[in-house]
Amino acid sequence: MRLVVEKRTVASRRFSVAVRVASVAAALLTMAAVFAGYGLDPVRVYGGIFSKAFGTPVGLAETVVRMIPLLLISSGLALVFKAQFWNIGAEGQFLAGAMAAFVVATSLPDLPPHLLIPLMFAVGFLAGAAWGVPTAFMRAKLNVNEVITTLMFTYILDWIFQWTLSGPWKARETVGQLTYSGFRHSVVITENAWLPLIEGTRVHWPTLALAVAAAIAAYLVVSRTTFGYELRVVGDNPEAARAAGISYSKVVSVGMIISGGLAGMAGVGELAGIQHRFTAEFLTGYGYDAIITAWLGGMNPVGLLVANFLLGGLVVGGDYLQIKFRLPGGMIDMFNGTILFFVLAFEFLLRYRIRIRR
Amino acid sequence: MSSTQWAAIALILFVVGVGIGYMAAPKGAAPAQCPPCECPPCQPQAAPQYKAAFIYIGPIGDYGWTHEHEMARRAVQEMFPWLNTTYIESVPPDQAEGKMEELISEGYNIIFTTSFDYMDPTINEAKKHSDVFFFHCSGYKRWKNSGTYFADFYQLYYLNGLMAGALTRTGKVGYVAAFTIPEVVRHINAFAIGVHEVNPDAVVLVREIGAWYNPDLAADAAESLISEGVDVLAFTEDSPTVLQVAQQHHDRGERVLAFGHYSPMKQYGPDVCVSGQIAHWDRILEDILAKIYSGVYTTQNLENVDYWWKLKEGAVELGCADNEPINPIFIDELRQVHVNETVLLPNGTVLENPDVYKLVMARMIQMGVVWHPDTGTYTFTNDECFDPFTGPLYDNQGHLMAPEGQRLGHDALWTMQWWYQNVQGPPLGGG
Repeated sequence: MRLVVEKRTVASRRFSVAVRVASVAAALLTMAAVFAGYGLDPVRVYGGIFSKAFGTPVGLAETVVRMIPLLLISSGLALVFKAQFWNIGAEGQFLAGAMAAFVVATSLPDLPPHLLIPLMFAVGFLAGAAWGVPTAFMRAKLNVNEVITTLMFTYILDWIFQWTLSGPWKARETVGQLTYSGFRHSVVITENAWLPLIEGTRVHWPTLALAVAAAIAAYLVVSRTTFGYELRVVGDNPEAARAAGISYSKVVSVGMIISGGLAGMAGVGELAGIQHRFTAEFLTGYGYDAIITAWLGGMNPVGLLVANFLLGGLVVGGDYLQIKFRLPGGMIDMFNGTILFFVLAFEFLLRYRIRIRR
Repeated sequence: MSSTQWAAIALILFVVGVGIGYMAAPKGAAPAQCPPCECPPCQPQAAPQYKAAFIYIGPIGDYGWTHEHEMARRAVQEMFPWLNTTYIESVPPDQAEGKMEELISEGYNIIFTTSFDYMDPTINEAKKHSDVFFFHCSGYKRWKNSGTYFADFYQLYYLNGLMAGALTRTGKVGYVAAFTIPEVVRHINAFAIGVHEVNPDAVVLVREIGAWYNPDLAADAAESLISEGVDVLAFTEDSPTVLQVAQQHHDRGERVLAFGHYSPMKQYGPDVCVSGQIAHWDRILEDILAKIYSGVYTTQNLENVDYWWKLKEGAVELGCADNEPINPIFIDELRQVHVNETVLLPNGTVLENPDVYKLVMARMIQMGVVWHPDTGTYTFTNDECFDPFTGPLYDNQGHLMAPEGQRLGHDALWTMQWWYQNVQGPPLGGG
């Protein structure tokens, strides 16, 4: 008797949802063991996290704040992942969008908000797309692995960004009688470029609306359009796609424009809605966290909404681990890592069938 | 509707249900101030009146900046029975406002934010919550309910520089800097002034790593400096890495010495750590909290409350171990180097051509602290008659930055963007 691994031809939707839910459950159980190891009751800990993140007005608002960029980025990622094109560089495309929007806001500070803000989002989309497309081109024409290039592009832009902060974008400021530029942050962008917030919260609703629209639009593109069909064929069977005359380079380039562009818009939202200036610590890893939620949510707007809402809540509720239970701050990263680990591990079950053969 | 969507909706309902269920469930300890256990003589009226929360930029385990703020939090927690404290670590500046909202909604009414980049978020929150006390560490913006505080190290860096100048044999001293912001430039220049006073031919080489906490980059920078001939290292970065690198070289039989930074780091380089800087944030916190408790500070009068504490207030201490200003294994070597100058002590004693050990102790006395080696204790005179930033001071382009006898003031120190004459560092300013 031995175990045999066979390739699974088709996984039913019911089965794939069940596998994803099971993967999250497995991650929660694993972390429960860690909490128990700290001498805490896991039921109380999870109760605390969930009631904090979803049950209080402040927690709920912060969960949504965290969800906005994740939802925008993961909608694009889920789309391009359909073509088995692994864009790991959303963090860089996010930054490209924010930097472009910063240039717009600082060059046209007197433009009224109803013109300036849409312009920033449009330019942010283009910049994010522009930072992503070369990697698609290199993959299609030169067969360079996109996992490497997309990640490296993020590092390149991050160093350019750090340089601008210590050089051309470094703000001049006044202390007492003296004007100087010493601190590594930019000027605050004009208030005309600040996104409106839902009263009493930090929820910048224009980006939220864009994110929800992007999730739905990405789903419709994949499921209802010719391009979406080509995307899926390229992903499922590149040989067949080539035989059918589908252009690989066109498909991954357009996919990357959408994915990079949406990440760029998320960067615009972060700059114009939350931070209003650049500091050396502008990037906080949304581009990487969105990879988890893109996997978890699949190419489905409801799935993406749920996955991003949950992950956003996890980060917000995670503060509770520190405030209330005195757990180290790194615990929440461990939490995210555990979820990604199980999601990817369980993905194996969707592609392969394990049989016992006598 | 497809099965996927049904499953997703079921998952949402489950999550919401768990949340509501938890909220609705009777909470055992909530209404009474007295938890069921751990407090036998239950006195509900003695419940804490103030809840203070700390927001940290790095992990507590950095063993540098954040670690020392955390030590201070624990100290004041012990000290004041009416105080309840908590913290959140590793908070990126963009999330600081959200974390403050969460803490305030949990009833915290004194918020300490301990990184420069929290400056704007702190002021924004102070304007929103006029009944909460805010204190921001290392910034310069204040509000009627938001003060500032800082324990400054530049006097200590100057004292470290005196020792570095005496101990370098290659004439090259290295400095690993996180960022060349004014605070760090001030520290490097103070260090360089000390080096220059003892060893006018020595140079100070600076490497900027672009991160407050990045042990890998700090190690690279230290190695690169050593490869250029540096044999004494100081740093401003939040980990003990530079000290560990020096100790590794020592273990291979090479002479590389270093200074500790922020916490008592001697254990990371027992054979190479000459001295260093130690912060005592608890001194400042104690003063702030006592004044809040006694009503001296209100949420109306903090606009001009700015703590800028140094040696004479006891907010900072010389050394890489508590109550040990200089590692004893280096004292003999320091005693053999003499400096051609005259130092006048506040009690009238005149030192002619003192050795560097004596010079360090004399300068410390001139800045308000007397070390008693026999008892291993300090006394504070609260009398400051010397400052390292006293002219003539030239920058490394040859410009006169302060004429003979002139002392740089607060604003000049807090905006410093020029290198002292013996410094070779990255370009400053910009914009």
